[in-house]
Amino acid sequence: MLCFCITACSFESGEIPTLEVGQAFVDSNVRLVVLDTFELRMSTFKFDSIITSESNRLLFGKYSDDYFGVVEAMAFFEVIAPGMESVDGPYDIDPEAKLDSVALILGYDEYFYQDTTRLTEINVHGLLEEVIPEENAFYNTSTLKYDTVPLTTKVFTPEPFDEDSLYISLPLQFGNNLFDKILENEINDNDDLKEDLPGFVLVPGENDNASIIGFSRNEEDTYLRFFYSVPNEFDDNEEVLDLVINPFPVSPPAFHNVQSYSGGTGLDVLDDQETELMSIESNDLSFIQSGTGFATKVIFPSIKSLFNIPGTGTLLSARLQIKPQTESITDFTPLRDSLSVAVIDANNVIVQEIRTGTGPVRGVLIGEEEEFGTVLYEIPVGIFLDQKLSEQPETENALILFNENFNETVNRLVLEGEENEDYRARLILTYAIYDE
Amino acid sequence: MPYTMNRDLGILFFGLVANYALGQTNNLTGSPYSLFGLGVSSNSNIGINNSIGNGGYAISGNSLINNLNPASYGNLGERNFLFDFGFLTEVSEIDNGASVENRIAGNFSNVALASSLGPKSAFGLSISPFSDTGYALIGIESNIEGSFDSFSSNIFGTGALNDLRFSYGRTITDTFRTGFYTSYLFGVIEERELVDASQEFANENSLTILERNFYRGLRFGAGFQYEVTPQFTLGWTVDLATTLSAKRDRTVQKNLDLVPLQVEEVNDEDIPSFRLPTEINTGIQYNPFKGLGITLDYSLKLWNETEQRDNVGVFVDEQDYSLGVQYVADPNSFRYHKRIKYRAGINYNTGYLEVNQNPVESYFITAGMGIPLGLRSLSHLNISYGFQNRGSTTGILIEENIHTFNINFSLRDIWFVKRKIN
Repeated sequence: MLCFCITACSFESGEIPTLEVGQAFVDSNVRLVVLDTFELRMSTFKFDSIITSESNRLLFGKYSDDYFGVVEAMAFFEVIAPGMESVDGPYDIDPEAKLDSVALILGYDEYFYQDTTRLTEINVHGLLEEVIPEENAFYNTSTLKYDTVPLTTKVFTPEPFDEDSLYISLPLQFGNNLFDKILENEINDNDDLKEDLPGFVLVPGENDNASIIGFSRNEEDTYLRFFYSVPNEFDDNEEVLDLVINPFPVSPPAFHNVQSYSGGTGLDVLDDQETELMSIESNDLSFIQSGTGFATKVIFPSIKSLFNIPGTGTLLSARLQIKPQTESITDFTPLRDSLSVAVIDANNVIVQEIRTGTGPVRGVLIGEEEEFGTVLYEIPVGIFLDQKLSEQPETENALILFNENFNETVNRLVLEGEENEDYRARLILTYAIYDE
Repeated sequence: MPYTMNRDLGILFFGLVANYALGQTNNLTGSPYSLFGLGVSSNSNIGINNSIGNGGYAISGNSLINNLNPASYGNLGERNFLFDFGFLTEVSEIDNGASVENRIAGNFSNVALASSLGPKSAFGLSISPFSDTGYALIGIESNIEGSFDSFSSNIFGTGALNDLRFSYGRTITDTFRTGFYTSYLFGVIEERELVDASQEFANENSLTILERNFYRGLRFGAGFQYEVTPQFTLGWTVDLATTLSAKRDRTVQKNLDLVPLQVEEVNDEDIPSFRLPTEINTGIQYNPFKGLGITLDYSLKLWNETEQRDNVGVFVDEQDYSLGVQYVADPNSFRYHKRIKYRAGINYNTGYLEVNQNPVESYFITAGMGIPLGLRSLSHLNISYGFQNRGSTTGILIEENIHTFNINFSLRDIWFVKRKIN
């Protein structure tokens, strides 16, 4: 009998019932309320500098932008002989060798912005100082001394997709100068080379209004090539010496300087990272531009009034919806799929990334599939606001919206602000009240 | 070896109580109506009451435990010991007018003992379910205020209230006995609501609220049984109104942008207590001839005066009518099959809950057998089957058809008496 008692086990239906039965006479214990009237304020600020030496791209070019004015990118880089693995070394060249020509080959990396059908002027200058950063990195604002007289100037039409690279012949005299020193063993290693050739800078034509394009830093794509021939019994042997951007550098070997100025939207007042241009003071717009460091800041001044709703509740969803200005979207300045988001402190310094269960929080474009839908960026800000609601002590932390690939493009974004008549930027909250 | 037998039964009792305490979150019901109040009144019963329509206030306790009336313990007789434990399985078919779903629930349901204190008095100890909760409401759609959208939530309830009861009965005269009981009612009812507030794109946000309500309280009752004639017995009991104090543990969690977050955890919070009504029960037993017993019972539960309501339902006075029959050819026969008892009963209950003026009535038809365990033993294996119909598909109500299967062992032993005939 005791055995029976032990074996007698309880049971119940293990599967969750799925039939919708009985719910007609019961209400949820929870009320959900959607609110989209919470105050928010958007403004534009500009990072003092952003690191551009860590990119794998070199930006070059110049154009005039309707909002940001002149946008200009110059590429600085040094070249060295790669792979010191051969016993002879790359600088051991037959003394009989004769230089035929020298050229700079710049590989396109398929990035472009604005109109690439326009003629572009590229000026190749020699640097007067070595490519050595002051604090381990170069910024979009960094520059190096260079010879004001260009080695060469070429006018071309960029073909970032149809062609692999841009071929720029350099003067034979420039080549011979270096090549002779190699033959005479005055240049035996990369350090010797840098003394005679600290590097190059690519400077766009002064009055250009064309495009900004990306050159690759890979040694296979971008290099300085010496074409030389070694006399032989029957025929000359044609050979090349390639100098490349160091793929395994100790300190950064290249960077781009990106600036924009003289726009008509008042952005020139942003001379300091802590200065902000409120969207209500700039035609109800706020701005983002990669490369130069413009970003949009969003604050939620009255979010704590959520606690004024009677009952005990919790934030269940928060979506920030912001519309990109339609007129700012063109074939040359297209809209990107997603928007980067982070937390900044009162001094506009990024302090934290926000992560959802699937990764970093991103703004996502919605409404593209709908025929007459409004195309908006929607940003899930629930985690941020939940933190904000419970933070002790209170901080002035705010959200920053910026572009992806912030240090290696010049993509721009013009957002409609919180009082824009076309579409007011809004915060849509879902608040759950579980105890009246 | 009667003494050994008693010890075994004692061990069994406490073993089963332990099992009971551990197993008390297991459902004994799958009824959506158990959402209201403290759940649905339990279908399980000690002894034979569940096979004769849940009645039997006038049944004597000389050969079985009749927990409905403490006075029945009064004629257990000298040196008697009874032990009873049972199991319940409930298969229900739930119909909302459009579709039907089957649910099954079951558990060990009760354990009880009765022991003589002297020739004219006895006490009983029992533990049994008082009410059961077990519901699953899927896909409750509610409007999101401030929008045209709706959200869906699922509510699951589980738990039970248990009745640990001490009863005492005494014979006053040959035809009149009286008794009282004290019950300690205790249990946990757990409700879990899952709210799914997912919006258009990938932020799957949800809220989970887990509430564990702990109830406990004492209840007292008294009763008498009076044998008006040898064929006719009258039984009467009263269960006094009482208040069950309640505490709540609540845990609220949410999933915000796929990140699980704890919102709140509050323990031992005071919540409104629950009032149980006064119950007045009257029953008669009529034995027209030896071997046939007919019982007729009427119960009134005065829920109105508790002035309680629950969500959309109102508590209303509940009336319960039952009619039961037991037949045995010859309880002392040497022929085994003649000692098998046959039972049947019907029950009508007006329900304590009214939803939009619709009472949730129920009908109950039962049948059962008492199979003697052994040739000379007075112990029985009782098997019963019941079919219950609760609610209706009118309005927003739902209808339940419930099949209950009860098995219980009713074991009897006579203390300190050596059998003269071996």
